Amino acid sequence: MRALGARRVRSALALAGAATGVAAVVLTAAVGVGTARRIDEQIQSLGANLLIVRPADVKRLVARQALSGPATTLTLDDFAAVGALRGVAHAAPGVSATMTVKHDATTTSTTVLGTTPAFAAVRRFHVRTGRLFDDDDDRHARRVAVLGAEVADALFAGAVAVGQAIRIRGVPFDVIGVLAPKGVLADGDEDNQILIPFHTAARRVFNVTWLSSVFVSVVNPTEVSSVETRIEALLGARHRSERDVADDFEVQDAARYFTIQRKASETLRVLTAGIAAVALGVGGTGIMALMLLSIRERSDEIGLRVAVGARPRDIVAQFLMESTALVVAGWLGGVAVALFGGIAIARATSLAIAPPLAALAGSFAMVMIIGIGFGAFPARRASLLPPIRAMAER
Amino acid sequence: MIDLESIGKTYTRQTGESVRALDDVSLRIERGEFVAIVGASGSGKSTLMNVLGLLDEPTEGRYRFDAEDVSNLSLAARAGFRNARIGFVFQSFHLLARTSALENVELPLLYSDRADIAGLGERALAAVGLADRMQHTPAELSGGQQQRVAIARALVNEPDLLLADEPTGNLDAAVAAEIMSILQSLNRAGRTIVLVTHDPAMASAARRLVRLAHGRVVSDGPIASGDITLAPTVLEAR
Ligand SMILES: Nc1ncnc2c1ncn2[C@@H]1O[C@H](COP(=O)(O)OP(=O)(O)OP(=O)(O)O)[C@@H](O)[C@H]1O
Ligand SMILES: [Mg+2]
Repeated sequence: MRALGARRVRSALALAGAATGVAAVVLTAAVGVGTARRIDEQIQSLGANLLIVRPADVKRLVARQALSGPATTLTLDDFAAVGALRGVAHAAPGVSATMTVKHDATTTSTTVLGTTPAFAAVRRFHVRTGRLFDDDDDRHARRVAVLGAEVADALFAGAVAVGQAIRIRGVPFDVIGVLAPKGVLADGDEDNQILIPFHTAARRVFNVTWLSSVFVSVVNPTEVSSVETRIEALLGARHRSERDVADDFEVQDAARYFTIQRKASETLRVLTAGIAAVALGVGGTGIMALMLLSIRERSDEIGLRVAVGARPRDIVAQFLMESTALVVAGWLGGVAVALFGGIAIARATSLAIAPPLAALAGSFAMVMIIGIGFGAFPARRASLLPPIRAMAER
Repeated sequence: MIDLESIGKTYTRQTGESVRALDDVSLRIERGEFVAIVGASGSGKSTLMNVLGLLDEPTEGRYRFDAEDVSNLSLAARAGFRNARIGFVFQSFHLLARTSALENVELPLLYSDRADIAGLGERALAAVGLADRMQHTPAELSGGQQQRVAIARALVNEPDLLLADEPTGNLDAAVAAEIMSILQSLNRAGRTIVLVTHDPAMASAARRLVRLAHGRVVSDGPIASGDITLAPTVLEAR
């Protein structure tokens, strides 16, 4: 240990090299693991078992002009048929549009979604305050609204929203509940919407008979794609029997989007991990060089120790301890840097950070290998030389 | 105590050529002797020292130490033997830098299986007159003092045999005489000493002279113990 203290500058350099490499590896891995975990959480909160049926964009000829827009063929009967399919847990119809919403003098633009109470179960929403509308509200087409967390903030700025009145496209509604926030989701901001009962929406706000979506949750997440096939077959048959055209609907697997995103982040993670490993390698090579140099320089000391009675294993033990202390200190330093760096990144950016266990273990194994391989191994070689030769070598 | 029988040592240089450093050397050294080994440069003095000190293995011959055949000991066994029975003093001191005199002296004890090591380091340093320099590092000591620390280190484990290879080679005459008088006192106190030197003045401190040439013993006999002491003896008999 004294030898380390004596070679302060060199030890500090080796330590810094190890620490930098370790910090790079651990930090990039922390971001990678954090991102992957966040995506997993998003998939979970969204529902890994969620399918959404939407009308397809179709071209129509209206007054000799080609217009493009959603098909108007998805109906409540379709919804009922889908809901009855095997493997479907819950289904909820949806009719939605972006609208201006007003409370007193405050206005905001948001998605208004008319749906049934089953929607909360399908999309895993919870109310933060107040209540959801129920079947009774829906049946009587009551003008009650449940606000997404962001909408509530926009309109009420922290004041109590439940019990207040708002106007949706001029129609007065009572706020009966506010949803718990879900966080930013990649398929659109689910906190920025207002839920109203389906029949209220269809009759009093939108005045339509067709649906803009059917939300379906599947009993077993592993059956998502077979249920998807069943829905496609069912609706294809229902719609084609009426009109002999291509599919006028599409079924989206909500998790698929995130799976793709997850793959992309995985690729990025592998890439950054690679770069970080190179950094650790460079740091490691630096330590190796310093250790080899140090052992060559200390071959005089090794020779002397052997001459006065040290056995090869005494020498190996000594250098093993020295180099291990050095690399472990470097590793701890790197982990500490990564910890503070991770906290800083989590504060300053929207990147997610999580403890990267594999990277911690991997980098520890790597510095230990460097410590043993380049501390103890050459020391052993030097200890096997006739001591006089080791002492003469300078 | 020491019995070398037809010892030969051939070095093979990296170029492939072989060097006969020792050739059919037979030598007996009894307990309590003070032997000087002299000869021209390259005559094999250091090689003989290394063989005697179990620092290197002879290529031929047999080496017995107190009737025990030590020619074919394992690496670890030789290390243990050196530690317990042989002390070394080298021309260039070989002290650990940035390490106190006391810790340098205690270095062999680190590898000893003796239990009663408390106080040995201090005693050895006191015996070479450095009781007041224990915490000094080599850089804070003169050349003569450094060599005295090295002698204390060689003595710390109370070895049977003290080997010194050109111990005064790096010192000026007055300091060299001081070192020699320490060795003489140690010998008078009963220590067996083998000294390698090419300086006749230093050799005259010994009581037996072995002359080497081209790896062979060319003469071997007692010398009148000329007292070369130029400086007052700093050593009390141990
Ligand atoms: N490790 C070695 N490899 C090859 N040859 C060596 C080695 N060590 C010594 N020799 C050769 O062996 C011979 C004897 O060397 P040694 O060192 O014993 O001589 P010496 O009498 O101690 O000389 P000096 O007075 O210069 O110290 C020399 O020719 C030397 O070159
Ligand atoms: Mg020599």
